[in-house]
Amino acid sequence: MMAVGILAPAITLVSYLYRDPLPSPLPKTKISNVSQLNVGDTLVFFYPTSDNQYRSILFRLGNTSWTAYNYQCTHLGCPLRLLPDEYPLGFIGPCPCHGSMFNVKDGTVHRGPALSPLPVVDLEIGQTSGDIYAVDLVGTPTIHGPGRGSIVKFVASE
Amino acid sequence: MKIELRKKLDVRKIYSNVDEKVESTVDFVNKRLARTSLMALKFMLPSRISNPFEWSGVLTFVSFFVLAFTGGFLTLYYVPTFTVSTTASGGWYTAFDSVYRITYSVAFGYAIRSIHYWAANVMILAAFIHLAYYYVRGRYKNPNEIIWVTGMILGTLTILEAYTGYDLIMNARAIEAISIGRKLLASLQDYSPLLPAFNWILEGQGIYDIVTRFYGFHLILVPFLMLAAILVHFPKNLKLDVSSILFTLGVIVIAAGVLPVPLGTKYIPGQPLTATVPEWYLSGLYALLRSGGYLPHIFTGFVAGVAIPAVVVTLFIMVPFLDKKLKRAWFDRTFYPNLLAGAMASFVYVTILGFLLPSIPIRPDLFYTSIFFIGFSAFAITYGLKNYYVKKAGVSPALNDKPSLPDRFLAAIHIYSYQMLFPLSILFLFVAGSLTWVAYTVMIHYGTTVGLITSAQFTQYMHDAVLYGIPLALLFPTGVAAIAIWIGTKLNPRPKVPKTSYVLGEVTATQIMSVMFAIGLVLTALVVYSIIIGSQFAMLVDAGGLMIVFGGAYHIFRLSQPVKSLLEE
Repeated sequence: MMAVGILAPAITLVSYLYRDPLPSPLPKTKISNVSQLNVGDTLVFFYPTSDNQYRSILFRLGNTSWTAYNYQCTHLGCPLRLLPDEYPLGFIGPCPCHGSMFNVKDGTVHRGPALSPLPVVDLEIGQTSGDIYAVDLVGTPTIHGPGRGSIVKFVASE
Repeated sequence: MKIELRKKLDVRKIYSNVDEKVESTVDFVNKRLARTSLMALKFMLPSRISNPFEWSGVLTFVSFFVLAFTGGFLTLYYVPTFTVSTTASGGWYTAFDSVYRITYSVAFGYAIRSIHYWAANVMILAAFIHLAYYYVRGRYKNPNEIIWVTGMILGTLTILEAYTGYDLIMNARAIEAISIGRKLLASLQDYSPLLPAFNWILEGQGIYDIVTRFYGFHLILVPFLMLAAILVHFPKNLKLDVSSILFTLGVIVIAAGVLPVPLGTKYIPGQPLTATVPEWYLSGLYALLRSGGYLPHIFTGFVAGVAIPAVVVTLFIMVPFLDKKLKRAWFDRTFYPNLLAGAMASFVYVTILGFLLPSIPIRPDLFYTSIFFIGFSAFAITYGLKNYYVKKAGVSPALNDKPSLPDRFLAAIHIYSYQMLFPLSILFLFVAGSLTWVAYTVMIHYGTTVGLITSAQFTQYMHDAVLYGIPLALLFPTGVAAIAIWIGTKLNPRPKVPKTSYVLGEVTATQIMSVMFAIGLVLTALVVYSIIIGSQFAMLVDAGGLMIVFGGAYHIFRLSQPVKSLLEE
């Protein structure tokens, strides 16, 4: 009885804390279709797992210009957001926790306590079907490292 | 053979070891606390038959501790956000999605969320009971004024904490509660445009800020204020009753297993809301808010939702400064104990009305008249009854040698409330559990004959039903045993020494404890089995049953201790 009294909560909490490791290499996941986003639109999606702990956001900056970032602040991991006032100026944020802001174009820090640029999600777009796939998450960014937008590969046929 | 078995399975010894451990631990902690800033604090084991309402405060704190613990684990997966994809197809990503994830994909996430929810309900219920009991016993009087005032503050903070908590889910119901809160904070401006509107306290820049602010309030600000108030509110001597603490935990855990808390529907801005009733402790306020009727300019949101509750809370805070007579026993006092009866009757009425006909405005004339009428009747009835019995008995009923039947009944409730509370709750659990089980079985059977459920699903569901049904059914003999003890105490002539002199026969106690121990073993096996098959709710029900049975057996052991050590307490 005593052993079960200790083990049952321990098993519960340990399995609550356990998370599957990320698959390697990361899977190719369909996010959306070109026809569903106009220029200037955004889309929140989950990558590399459908698990919503990994939030990412896709921007259509121009007709053929796309970029996607992991959508968590690199300072302390707070969920980022877009404000209607800030996004047209080209910024993600301010972060609700400490006010960090990031540039939409390359994910670098515009302002605030965050030091590293946002991790990037690389994309692949089918030219005929128009399907958009996420293919890789370039994570663990270095402090003050150079930011970059997504590498977008246009594929003729899948 | 029989004797050998009894020697081998000496349950009494197990519980006496537990008792020694508990006593030595309490002693150890008390001595070490003397070296800390909490030097005045002392834990005390209560005498074996004393009123459980005496330590309702400790039970409230136990629920608070459970809340802090499970809440800490919930923060690990909760994401306080409210984000939109600007495309039509992308939709909204909100805090609701993370709660959804905790509920359906994290291992044991649903169980922990359910425990958190039920612990909140138990905490508020225990706090209400604590308030009522200590009010009736006149504990707010000199020199307890500060304890009383901090208690009222704690109660208000508890409700606020619960309110911010269930809004964090960001389902349709939460959004409705938030919009009511916003309206209340903004309603001061109805009186003059020069007055400030306080809705920005919650809102900030809009819905993006609401969720982070509620998160901050719920996680840090309100609990911190509560801890500060608790520090003042804690008395010097804390009654630490192991079996009632285990019983409280067991009730929380079983409730979480049998009635897991629903998730509600996701709120997406722009979609119309359907009217829903808030939690039971706020449904009274909801009824008040709907009481504008055809006089909305008089019973505005500010009057109904802010002014009236504020007046009630202020009156309760002011009670020790209004009622300055030093007599504490309820039969020596007039007016104030009866006032509580009136307040409680009105509260129950308003709470029930909150659940009826949601979204329909209530006629203010009927509503406020009936609140007053019900409150006044309860006041008058208790006032008259009490005066009648005190006059008839000459002295207070508790001290009379030959009290009347109602007095004896009241005294029995008072003295044996613990013995009654314990079996009755278990009996209730058993009846509820069996009914659920029967209904479940019938429904599944019906579903199978109609063709809604396949035979494989039928086997699975029946298996689940047995897994839930057995532990609840096993609690039944425990309840019967406890009821038998209670009846036994009523049949035997009561000794003339104080209330606490009742002693349970050692042999009887040992037999009951052996049965309970066997039940405990079965429940333990069921806990292991439900962990192996990964059924989190079955595990909760079994573990809760285990706690109740273990705590109950420990209580029975303490009842059967010799009188000598009892008098020392």
